[in-house]
Order: sequence, then structure tokens, then C-alpha cells
Amino acid sequence: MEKLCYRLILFLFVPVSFYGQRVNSLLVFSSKGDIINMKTREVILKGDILKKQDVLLLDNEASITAIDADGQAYTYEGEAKCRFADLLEKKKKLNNLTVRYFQFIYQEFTGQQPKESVMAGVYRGNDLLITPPDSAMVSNRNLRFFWEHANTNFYYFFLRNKTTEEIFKIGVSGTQIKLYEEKSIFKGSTQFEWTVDTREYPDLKNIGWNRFEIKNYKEVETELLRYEKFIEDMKVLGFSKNEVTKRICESYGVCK
Amino acid sequence: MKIQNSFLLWRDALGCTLLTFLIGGFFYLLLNSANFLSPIENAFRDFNYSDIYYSKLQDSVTKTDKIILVNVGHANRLEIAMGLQTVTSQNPKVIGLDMIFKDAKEPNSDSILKAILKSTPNLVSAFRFDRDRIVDNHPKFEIPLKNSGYLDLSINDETSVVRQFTGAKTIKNNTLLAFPVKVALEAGFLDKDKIAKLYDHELTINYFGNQNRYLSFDIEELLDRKNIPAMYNAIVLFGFMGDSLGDNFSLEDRHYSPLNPKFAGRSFPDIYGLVIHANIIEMFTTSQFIYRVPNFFSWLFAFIGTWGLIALGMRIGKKNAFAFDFGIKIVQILATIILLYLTYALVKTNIHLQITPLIILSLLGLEMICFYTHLTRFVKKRWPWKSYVID
Repeated sequence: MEKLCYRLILFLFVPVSFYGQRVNSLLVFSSKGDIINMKTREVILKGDILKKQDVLLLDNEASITAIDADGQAYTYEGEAKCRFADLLEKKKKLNNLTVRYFQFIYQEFTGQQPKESVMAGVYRGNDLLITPPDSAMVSNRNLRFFWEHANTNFYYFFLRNKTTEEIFKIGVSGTQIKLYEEKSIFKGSTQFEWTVDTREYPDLKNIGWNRFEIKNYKEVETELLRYEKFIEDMKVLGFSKNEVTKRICESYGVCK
Repeated sequence: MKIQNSFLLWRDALGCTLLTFLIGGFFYLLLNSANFLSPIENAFRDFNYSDIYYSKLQDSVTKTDKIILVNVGHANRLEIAMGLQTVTSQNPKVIGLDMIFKDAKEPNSDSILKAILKSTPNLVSAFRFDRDRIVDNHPKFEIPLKNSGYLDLSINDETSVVRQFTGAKTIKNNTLLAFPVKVALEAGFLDKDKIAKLYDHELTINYFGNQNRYLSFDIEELLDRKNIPAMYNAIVLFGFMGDSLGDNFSLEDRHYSPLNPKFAGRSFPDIYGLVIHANIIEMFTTSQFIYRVPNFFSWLFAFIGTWGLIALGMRIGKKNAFAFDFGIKIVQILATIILLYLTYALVKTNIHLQITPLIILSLLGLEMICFYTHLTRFVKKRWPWKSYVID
């Protein structure tokens, strides 16, 4: 009886310990937010390989999904210091076919399938966007984009080239980003539109965009002459040059 | 006595089964012929019970790192060339381009693209058929047709579900391979013997998953990277998957598949062409081919199953008519649930059995017991006839 117990314990625990040692590396399948490898001090990106000695530092709202050689997925979320072994514990489990099938039958019989409502309308405008405002003219290809703070630290910035339809997308911590004219998205057009969303994959056809056009310096200066009186008044009131420029941009869409 | 009863039971069940097939056949012809019923026929035309498995029950957790997708979006040719160069430097096994550079465009970017295409080892390009002619890359790129595969899949019209493809075609004594077959061949997962079995013969696509099964990049993400370890020795496919990854609202190169979250009724195309090719390639790399049980065996199974269920119904009805009337609906529901479960267990092992005849005929058969009983009474009035249900 004793021998049987020992054999049962060995039978149960040895495969488990072997499994833990069998997974020697993981491939980063997807990541969100800031994740740093504390060993190499490098940012962890999709497609990177994690080794057993790696320790990850995840910031708030960050998450990582990694897969092993068999395609089994492991997901870790939230602000934490995550060792390789910690990640292995977060295996994504899936019920077997029988359980999934009868759960499905039960949901169908009891009408538990989620009912979606459809919006018969479209969104126009995006309250988050500050500058450049809609229909702005901009003289500087090194552009700063500002937006309002929503209830998150992480945003997704989209910029579309209206001639080539190319879209540039980047995740940003904070409420501003500066892009430089060398960026390929700026090639081949002077008409662009930009937007920001808190969702990684919003419906781009149904969110508000701010359009802007890049003009040469002379054209923008000429346009600014129309607001000469306003600029003078602002200066008299004690506003600095930068503040005046910012106000003109926000209110009248003429941005230097 | 018991043996005789048993013989009569099975004989009556056989008679009722034949009557069920006759009535079922009549309703099928009626459905086909009557125009006012064609909406019903159309609604079922594209439906297959296995779609419920792919849509609702399939493993959606497991991923693969063997095939990687790169979304080109609306990138220009220069960016595609740069993306190709980045991927080539990662030493993938094969690079497949699910796109056709049909026309010459801006000379500078075209010549850069041409140079990079020429210097990319293990590159598989694409072409398509337009009736009798081949539409392929512009001659200036100098991509030989033998390094390309055709993109065409088997669909009757734009609303049909993409279930099958032809792996190889012989046209004017030329052997042409499908794009995913060519990729699998270049990656070393196929040999000439296996390809010979694909000629002019439709294969059912084994769908492992949609885009979220595969490691995917937007092309802009590649341009900022020097090192992508995942791409080493992987199959990397370039193609269109929306304005950016996660764009589920673009209709370009989007099709219906059994993975559609809505397995019946009106729905939105759910899968990009590139992902269909990825699934086919995965089919070859893992040798997980669908075996379709021949229609003859499906109908034989339907016949035997209907016969058995009718016998069970007759036995219950004979013992207790109330139990039969009350319980027959429960039996029908339970039988359907169990039969579907067995079907999905087979689908999981890559065996597709056409279960629709068995389900419909067995449900109809249980209802036909009553009519068969009346028919037997009618026959018995005129001729000597022993029956289990009325004796």
C-alpha cells in the first residue's frame, strides 16, 4: 500500500515537474503597454523570445501574451514584476470539446447568447482632440499633436495620408506626440487627418478625425495677418508668443 | 414469439424508413422546384453543420509561431520593399507575397522593389486567373511564373463560404500550383508525389483559426525593428489585412468562412484572403487534411440511423402510447444533440461526415410512425399482413 502511494505521488508530480522544465522559451505573441526586460534593459516587443532567466517589468495597464512551441498561450496582465515561471503559471485554459459543446447547447436553449444592439447613426467629431483642430493649416512638418486626457494613461494615435490612404498608428503614453517630417507618412501629400482613441482597434470609419493641410511658411504667415488685431490684443494682455501661437492654432486652425 | 416480434419490429421500422425517405425525397424536390420556397433553399445552401464547430466550439486559445503574417495595408512599393528587406534579414524559411504588382508605377520605387525581390531567397510570388488568361506581375519585375502560385480559391459567387481549393492545375500542359501549395513546397513540407495527388482535385480547407491565431505585424512595425527573432525559420506571408491590424471593417479581399461568428443568416465577411492561405499552408505543414466521408456512406449511415431510431420509437409507442406522444419530442431533441456531438467529435479529428440527412430523416421518421401505422391498417384490411405496430 505504501509503495503504491509513493508510485502514485511520483506519477502525479514527476510529469508536472517535467512540464515546468520542458518549456525553455516563450515567444511574445502580443504586448500592450510598457514592458521592459530587466535583464537586458530592453523593451519587449511582439516577436521577441523570452528565456528562463528573463524577468519582465510591466507597467499599469500593460499585458503580455506569450506562446510556447506547442502554441499554448500564457497571459500576464497588470503592473508587476513577472518572472518566466510566473508567466508559465498564467496558462490560458480551454475546456474540452464535450464541456464547450454542452455549454453552447445550454446557452442556446436558455437564450444566453449576448444580444447586440446596432447603432443606426454615425459619430462625428472627437472630443479628445485639441490641436491641430479640424480644417487647420499647418506650416511646420515637425508636428505636435495634443489631446485631452481620458480615463487612461495609454492612447492610440492615428494619422492618415489623405492621398495615399496610408495610416500611421502608434501607442502613446501621455497626451501628446511629436512627429518629424522625415516620417514616410508625410510623403506624397499635404492633406492629412489625425485622431486618437483609447481602443487599440477602433472602427476608423466611424470615429472623428481632425483634418489639416500642410502649407508653406509664407501662406501661413499671410493667413495670420487676418488675426493681427487679435494677436496684438493677446500680447497687450500679457500672453507670451508661444501662448498666442497656441491660442491661434486652437481657435482659428492656423498653426505654425 | 419474442424473435418473431423482434423481426416484425425491424420489418415495420424498415417499411417506415422507406416511407420516410420517399416523403423526404418528395419534399426535397418540392423545395427545389417551387420558386416561392427558394429563399428557404438559399438560406440552407451555404450552411453546413460543421460550421457550428468552427464558429463556436473550436479551440481559439492555441496559436502558432510557424506562420507569420505581415499586413501591408496601403503601404507604397518602397515601404513594401523595405519591409521585405527587414524580413529577409531575419532568415525566414519562405516569404510569400499575396499581392500582384500588375502595373508599373513610380520608376524609382519600382526599381528598388525589383532589386529587393531579386535578392530575396525563397520568395513565392502570386498571380491569378482571369477567365483564360493569367494576370501576374509586371514583366519589369522579372518574377518567373514558376516562382509564383495562383491566388484563386473555389467559390461560386461572392456570397459563398470558402470551403475548398484546388491545389494544382494543368493548363496547356503547364503545371500551376496554388499559392499556399507553392509556399508549402518551398518550405519543404511537400514533395512531388504529394503534389501529384492535388492535380485538378478539390481539397477541403481545414480552418485552424482566424487572424488572431497567427503572429501578425503591420508593415510599419517591421520598419522600426532590427531584430525579430520569431521570424527565424518561419513562413512569412505579406498581404492585405485592413488599413491596420484589427481593422474588421474593411471589405477588400474579405470572404466568408466557416469561422464566421454567425453560422447562419446574414453576416459580414469574416476572413481576409491572406489568412485563408495561412490556414491552407498550416494544413500542409501539420499534415492535418480533412477526410470527407463519401456521400454514399453518409446516406447509408442516415438510413441505418433512421431505421434504428424508428425501431426505438415504435417499441416505446407499443409499450405506452402516451409515453410515445409525450416523449417523442424529447427523443428527437436528444437524438439531435447526441448526433451533433458525435459529428463535432469527428470534425475535431478532421473527419467530415454529412450529418444533415441523418438528422432530418430521423426526425421526420419519428413523425412518420403515425402515418405508417395508418398505412399498415389500410393494407391489413385488404391483405393478410402481420405488423408489430398494430398487432
